Amino acid sequence: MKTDVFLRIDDYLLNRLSDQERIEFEKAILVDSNLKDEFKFRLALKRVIDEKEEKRIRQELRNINAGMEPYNKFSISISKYRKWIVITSVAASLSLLFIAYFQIYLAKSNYKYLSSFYSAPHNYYMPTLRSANQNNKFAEIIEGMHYYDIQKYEEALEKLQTAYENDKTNENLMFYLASSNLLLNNISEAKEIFIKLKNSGNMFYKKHVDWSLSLIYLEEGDIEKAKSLLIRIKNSNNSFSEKASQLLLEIKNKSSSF
Amino acid sequence: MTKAQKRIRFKDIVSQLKKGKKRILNEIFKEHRNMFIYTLMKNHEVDEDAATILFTDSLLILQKNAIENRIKTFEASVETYLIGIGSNLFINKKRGFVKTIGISNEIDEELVEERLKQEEIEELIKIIDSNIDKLDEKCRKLIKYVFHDGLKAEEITELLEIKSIGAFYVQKLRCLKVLRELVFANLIES
Repeated sequence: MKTDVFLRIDDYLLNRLSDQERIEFEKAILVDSNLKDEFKFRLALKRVIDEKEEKRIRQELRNINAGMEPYNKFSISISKYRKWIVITSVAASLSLLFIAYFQIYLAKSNYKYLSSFYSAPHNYYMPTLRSANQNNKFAEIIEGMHYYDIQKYEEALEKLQTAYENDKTNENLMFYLASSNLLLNNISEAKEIFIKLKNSGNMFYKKHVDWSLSLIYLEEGDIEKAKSLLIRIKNSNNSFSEKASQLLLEIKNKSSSF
Repeated sequence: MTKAQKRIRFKDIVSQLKKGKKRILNEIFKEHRNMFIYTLMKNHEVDEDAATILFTDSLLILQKNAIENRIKTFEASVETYLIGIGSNLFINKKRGFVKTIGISNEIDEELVEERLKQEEIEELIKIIDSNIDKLDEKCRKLIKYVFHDGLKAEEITELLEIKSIGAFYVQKLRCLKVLRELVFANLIES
């Protein structure tokens, strides 16, 4: 019995007794002085060991704390709201992707007439580099037309533009400069030069100019001007007449659907 | 971590502490220090250093509660649990300061008697503290496993490579006897 009660001291100190057992143990301490003395001794012993361990753990944690990155309020904000930061970042990325896709789509669809109906006019001006005059005066033009022939329109534009600065009356040069601009979707630059050519009354490139301008007007949404030119092209019975009819039908169908 | 994972983690932490595996406290410290400091500073008038100390205090209480089977439910995460302890510690410290201001200067006999008993225990603590290192290493470990870590007899028997549970109990009584003799020799001298 005595041994049982003494064994209970450790259980009591470590909170292992049930409520009933605890009450019985506390009653036993009050009446048994030996038990009380042993209890005090073990209680004090437990306090000593607990304090030693506590000191050791505190020191260990202090050392860990010293070795850690200093506390940073900002990093907590990040970790606390990580989920939302991730969601927001993903949403932002998706939005950017969507916008980029939409812009590309718009860019393509903005020039749907050009991309579907326009192709580079043939080089009637300077067929090949070999047969052309190698005179330095025409060097820029020759190079520009060479690039035009091999479909390097940006390089062609650069050379032809330089040449145009020196000779603004050269209608051949104007036509291919305008065409290079249109092939690169520089619509307003192309339009300006084509209108100049049209106003000059140039007949050699007339059908090309009319066709190019009709497509430009369609891209700009100027349906009336486009229609006017397309009717004329259709009635001219040239190589663009069939396509002009097609476009007129398309315009008619679109306007009737509204 | 999902809520379920956090609960499982908390359970695992308590289980490890019950087995005397204190290293887990180091892991918890590294993992949760910043959030604890952030929350305490945000909710209470406490600076970073004080919050860090409160965090250590909270960890020690977590350990004690784990060993003494005071943690019954695992609905929250260990982080929430520690922040709860830390907040209570801070509030109690503040209240404790306020509480002492109203104490009467009249002598309360029961209180005096209680203080005397407390002084007896404090005296014992001092003497035990100065003598415990005189025990051999095995006894010191055994006493720590029993009274601090709260390990079971079977676990201690295995850790200290004692032949049997019976031998463990004999060993325990021997260690306590040696310490008691040292302590009371000191008491007699004083």
